[in-house]
Amino acid sequence: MRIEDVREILSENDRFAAVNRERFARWGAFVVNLMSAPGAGKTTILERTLAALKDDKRIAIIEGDVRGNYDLDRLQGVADVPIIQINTEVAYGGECHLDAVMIGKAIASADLTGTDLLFIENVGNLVCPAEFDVGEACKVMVASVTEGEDKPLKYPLMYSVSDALLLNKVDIADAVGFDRTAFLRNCRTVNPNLEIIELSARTGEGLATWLDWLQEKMA
Amino acid sequence: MHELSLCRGLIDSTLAIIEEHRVSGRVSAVLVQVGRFTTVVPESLRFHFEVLRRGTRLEDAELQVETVPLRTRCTSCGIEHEPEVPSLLCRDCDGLLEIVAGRELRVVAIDVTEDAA
Repeated sequence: MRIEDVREILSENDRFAAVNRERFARWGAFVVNLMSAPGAGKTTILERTLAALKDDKRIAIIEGDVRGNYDLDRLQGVADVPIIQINTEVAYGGECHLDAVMIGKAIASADLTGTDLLFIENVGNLVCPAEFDVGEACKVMVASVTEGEDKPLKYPLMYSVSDALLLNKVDIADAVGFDRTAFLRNCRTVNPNLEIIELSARTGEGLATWLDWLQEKMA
Repeated sequence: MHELSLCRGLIDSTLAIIEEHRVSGRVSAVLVQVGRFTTVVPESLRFHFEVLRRGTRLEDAELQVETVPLRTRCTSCGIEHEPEVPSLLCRDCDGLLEIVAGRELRVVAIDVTEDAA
């Protein structure tokens, strides 16, 4: 006898994501889920963003890493803002992404009322973070010119779920022979709606465009 | 990836079905749909299922996975494709595609054998 009944397997994650989303809304926070491959420049971009906005906006960060407080230390060195560290090695067996359950547990005893902008810096990984809604308002990914122009085609899920892409390290694009035209074409193939902002966290080039984008989304 | 934790979700979802339908017989199969445009590997899901089902009502159940290909529909011209390369750009009119299939991750049915009298 066959019993037909549809149940979504990710329903627990999505239930937690909805609860997280509600909590973030009560706090008044605009939440960005920041994702990329390891070393693309998420933390450096966050350092620059924090330095630029800390006097105008109340910012908080949820920092996800397999292990270590390296990123937390760097960011805390820029500004005295609330930073919650999640080490997936501690409670989650070294999980390679953040999910809504982890975020929910991390914020359970937090009160971030009045936060304008909350960044969730995800674990460096181009595959798995794309699968998990954590309650964010938008997904922003970072790609660096050193990764190559074929990555949108190799990691289509990540590129297709992202609202914006920060193309980082443009100052060394020539040095590594980056084919910008091919990269933009590949992005457009996988996600025509992807907003692409070209910048260099190191030189500061393009950072203003990113900050403007954030301001616009927060309004 | 994460087939282990996804499998726990799979088992929880299935046990909820069993409870809601007041199933008394032996569950012989669990039918799931896994979209091709997810990061889930069916073989890995089956592997973890075989371990996690022990000691539950699903102990003797086989996991049957139906993989669902990526299917897109153009929001401008309405044409549907099953693209080789996951693309959201319509190759006919350059319009934006929406995904109509290929992102599934769900239990859809269970097969139950009534207990012999």
